Amino acid sequence: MSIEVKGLTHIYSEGTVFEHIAIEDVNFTVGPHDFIGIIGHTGSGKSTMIQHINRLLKPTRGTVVVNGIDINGKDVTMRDIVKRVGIVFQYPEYQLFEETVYKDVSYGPKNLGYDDEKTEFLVKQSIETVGLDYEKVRDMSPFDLSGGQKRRVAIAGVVAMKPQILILDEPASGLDPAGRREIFRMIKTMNTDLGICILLVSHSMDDVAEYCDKVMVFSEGHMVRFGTPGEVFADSEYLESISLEVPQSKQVLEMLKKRGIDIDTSPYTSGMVAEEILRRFKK
Amino acid sequence: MIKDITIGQYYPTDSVLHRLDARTKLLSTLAYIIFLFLVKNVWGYLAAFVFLAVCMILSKIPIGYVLRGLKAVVFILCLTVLINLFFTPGDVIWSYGVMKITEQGARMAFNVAFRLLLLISATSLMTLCTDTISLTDGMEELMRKVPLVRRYAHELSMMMSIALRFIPTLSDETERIMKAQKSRGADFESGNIIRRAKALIPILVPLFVSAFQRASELAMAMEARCYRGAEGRTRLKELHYSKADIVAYCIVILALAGIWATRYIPAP
Amino acid sequence: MDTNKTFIKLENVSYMYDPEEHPDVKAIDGVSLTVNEGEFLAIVGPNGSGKSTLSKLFNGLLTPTEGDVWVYDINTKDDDHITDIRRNVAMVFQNPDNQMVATIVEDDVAFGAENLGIEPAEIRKRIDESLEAVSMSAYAQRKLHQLSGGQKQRIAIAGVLAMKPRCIIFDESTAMLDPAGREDIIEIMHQLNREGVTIVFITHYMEEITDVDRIVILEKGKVIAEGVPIDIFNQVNMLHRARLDTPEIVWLCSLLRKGGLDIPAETLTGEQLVEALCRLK
Repeated sequence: MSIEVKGLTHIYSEGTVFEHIAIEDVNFTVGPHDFIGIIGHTGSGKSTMIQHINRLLKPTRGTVVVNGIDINGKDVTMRDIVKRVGIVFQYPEYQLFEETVYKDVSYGPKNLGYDDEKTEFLVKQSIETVGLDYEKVRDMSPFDLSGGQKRRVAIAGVVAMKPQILILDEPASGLDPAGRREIFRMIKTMNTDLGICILLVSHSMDDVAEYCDKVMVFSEGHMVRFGTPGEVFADSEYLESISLEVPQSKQVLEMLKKRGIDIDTSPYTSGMVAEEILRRFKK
Repeated sequence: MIKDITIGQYYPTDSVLHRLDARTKLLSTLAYIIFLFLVKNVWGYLAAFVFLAVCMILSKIPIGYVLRGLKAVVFILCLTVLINLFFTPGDVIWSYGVMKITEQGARMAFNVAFRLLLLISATSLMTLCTDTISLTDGMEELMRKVPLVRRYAHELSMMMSIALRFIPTLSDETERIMKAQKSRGADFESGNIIRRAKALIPILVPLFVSAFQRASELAMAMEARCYRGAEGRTRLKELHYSKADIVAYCIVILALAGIWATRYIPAP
Repeated sequence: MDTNKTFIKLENVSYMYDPEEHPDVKAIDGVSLTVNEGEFLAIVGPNGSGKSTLSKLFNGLLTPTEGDVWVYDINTKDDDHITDIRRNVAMVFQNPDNQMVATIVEDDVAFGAENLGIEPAEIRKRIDESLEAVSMSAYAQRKLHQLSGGQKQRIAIAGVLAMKPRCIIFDESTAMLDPAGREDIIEIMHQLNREGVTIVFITHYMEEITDVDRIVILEKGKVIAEGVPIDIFNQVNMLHRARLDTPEIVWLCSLLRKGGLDIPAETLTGEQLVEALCRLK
């Protein structure tokens, strides 16, 4: 197992009038090569939760164990943690600061104390992983790139640290539909080809349904559901009760079912739904 | 740390201080600060302190909230006090190795500490009970009375109001960038001063880039909302003196006279 | 509503950010376009297609390098009338944080009206009405930075409403919001449109524009398609070439058609698809 969270509770400004329980008693285990989608409204606690996985926040109560190490243990340094867990925040291009793409991406590896040779290897590899041409961009200023390319360089800056777990908060926000697809496919490849465990925070049910193996649902500080997309989306009434939308294609199946048509409502991607409808309606 | 700066952060209550005209509060604060520098002895500080304490109670703002604003300046305060304490020449009253405290130094440190504390508390109280628009409008009006500055009165007050408006935004942004760089292994806590200063570059550069970006977008948004400077502009909240302001001016003048009078009381 | 009267007219407009050094890099390239009085127009394009530049040409924030933009019969190059143009063609931007000038909600809403030199009593009245229109009356005294993104964007709308504009341009105003905030803003746009305000909505989310009057697709600074939603959405290949998407349901319909089901071309929503399928049975 790669991440084990037990009884995780975070209370902001505990004991003052501003006291606010952000997350309460969250428990889950994530395997080393999982692709997990995390959904929930703004303020549901999902962003508080992910910041505990690399100790940007410390739990008020509970433990976070990554690869067998309790990351809040006394002897564990921040460097030990960031080596294993990378976080890509929303709009990560805002963290770019160096004169060249190479220097920016090498910031992480250098902080980990790697020598020039190893750093160069990691930088090259990560720039290629995010789908950019290393030779072409290495000496360019990151500020001269297009929006989509900046985003990729910023992601490369985290990937270059070779994390075994990569957390991404809305990595595609602001990108056009094709840009979104490219980013999600790139993340999927990191998961399948490089075996990186992915935690993907997203508002879009359709994207989560399409790419993730498992889905975590947060609502009002609690993890209320955790399972395969099929399992989680099966209970569409519950999701609607916490005002999360079920993928649109799936809603069609449920409307058909309500009309008294005998149809399987478990498919959730447009491809699967089309298949089910065709099976039922084509003579 | 930036979160602790309460100067410029309005705290709405329905107190009599909140209802006063911004100009009254600005001028009174200015006069109060000037008088702080005229104080000669402990009685003066006591009088100044009592006056400020009464104002704080009148403002209905929780005392803790006002004091939180002081947290941000504790470092500067201690530094100034220590420098004055140890480096003022005069009659030595205590020494240990190369360190020595002089009587003059002790007095100076005491003076500086009280002056700074009262000055900052007074300014922060003034901003806490004046909403930013009234505050900057008040400044604009006052600046219009000053030759030379007059021409830029509107621009200066607009700059001030935008700066205050962006404090919380940029403070959130700083926190966000810090977290992002920390996740890339940045270390802001160890090493000598040069190392630490260098570690700030990955935060400062993105912060400036984003601030410039915001500034250019804001300029465009202001233009889109027909902003053309002071010309032909009206105000939602017009400043006007009421009876309460006249009373306030009288009270402030009397209080300041009181503070002045302490100069003639012999120091203990 | 008479939606045939021309409100804004672009005549063969090109825009270059640097006409001296890079005359061949055109952000907008020979666009001719009209916005009609009272219509709900969507302008869609991928990142870097020039849609944000285009939106700034509508109210003279940018003036064309070549060609002309007319708002009624005023040219946006006419500096003497620029305030008349901007009070009538207002704009809500993408980033809610970067269009707020004041700390307190009502002060920000007042900003545009103050710039127009309106009497304080009238401004007060307009603030109340505008905040009411975006259901934010209870927030008049609140601090802006404590609101959510969607709420901030509603305040930005109230701020332009206080200028009583005839047209509002939404320049990717939903892009940075969560789904709930996005839905709110779109609902408000439709509400305003029903009350007679002309709406120009710039976006790249197809799901948001299934019920607009007209869609214009922009790619590399040029208009490559124009039409009612159904016509545009069914040009699946064109949309994909332009790095855009079809709405989920339209995509599902196209898969079903490929599979041999006879789904009518005008199917845009889940409900319509269910109806169509039930008729097939």
